[in-house]
Amino acid sequence: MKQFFILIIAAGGLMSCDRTENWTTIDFLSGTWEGQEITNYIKIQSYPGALTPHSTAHLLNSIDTTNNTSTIDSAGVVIDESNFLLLNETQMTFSGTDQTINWAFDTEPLPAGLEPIFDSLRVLFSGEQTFDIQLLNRKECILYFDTIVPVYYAGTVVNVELRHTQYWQK
Amino acid sequence: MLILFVGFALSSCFTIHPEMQHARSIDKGGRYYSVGAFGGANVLVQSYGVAGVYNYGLTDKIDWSTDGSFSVQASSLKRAFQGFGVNQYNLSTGPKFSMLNNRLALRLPATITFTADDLFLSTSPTLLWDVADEKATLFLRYNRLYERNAIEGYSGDLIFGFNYFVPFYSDQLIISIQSNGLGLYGGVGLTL
Repeated sequence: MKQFFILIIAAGGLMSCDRTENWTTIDFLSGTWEGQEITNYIKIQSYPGALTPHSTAHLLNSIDTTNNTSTIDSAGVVIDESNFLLLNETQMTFSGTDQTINWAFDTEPLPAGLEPIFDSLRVLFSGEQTFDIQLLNRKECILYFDTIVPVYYAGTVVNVELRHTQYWQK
Repeated sequence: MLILFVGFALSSCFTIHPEMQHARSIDKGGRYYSVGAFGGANVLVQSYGVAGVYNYGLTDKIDWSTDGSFSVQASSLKRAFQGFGVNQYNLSTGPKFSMLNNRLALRLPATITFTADDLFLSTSPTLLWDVADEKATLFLRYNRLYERNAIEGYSGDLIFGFNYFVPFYSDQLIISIQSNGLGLYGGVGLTL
């Protein structure tokens, strides 16, 4: 009888676990992700950069891997929709992300002097962005890209490097 | 351009670590150690770190002074522990000249800073002034970048602060507060 109970418990334990050893990137991506934080690290050459984090706890990212869509929801309101293409196991491109600039770059707490960087980024933003998948498992997803943003100021151009990281959890 | 500079200055990201030492020099051949932890915030981000100082007495008035720190910038301490931050390593080393009966000292260290895959060289002249019978030390540190950058007029950060020394068994507890005028940072350390 004792062995029977042990067998039942062991079987139940195994059945309750997600078997993820055969999962691919697309399997891990599928589902609804809760926003944690986005950090934008911005730096000018020879200057030790500025980290500008903001919370994204109010965001949900529903990834539909059947239709390859990503839907961003903020407090019950859909604020952004995009299509994605998985380039390989570590890179994916989001397109049609016209509204992403509004939630991925929170300019509200920033000093006024940093706003030109985001203004330039807004002009440059094409609605398509390729991300590196830095971490992806059943519970966590970290997406990253970096780019150079020319910031125009009184006839002068300053190249500003932007390193953008998104943290999502299930 | 000035506005851009101000924006970056507001988010100045060099470590704002404490100067955990007196102006007073140690005797020739003597050694001084201190270690501590510090933290604080500016308008954008919080910083947390650990720091240490090692001084060696070259003469009765001149020490070779070395300090190092490791810090993390993140939105909160929790995020820092989760690894969602930017690490910074800082090492300064150079002579420290004590004068005016050991009440005033000038450190002239070279500084190397490594953060976010970038290396920065600078010099960090620091003035230390012992007051209140050496129970407190005021300090002023100017970290001047070696390499010019795209922001006209920017050449470094000015940090000011003070240490308060409290007897702690055979050693001294250090309570430190420092600022670059844009953020406020504090630390607790121990002389060894």
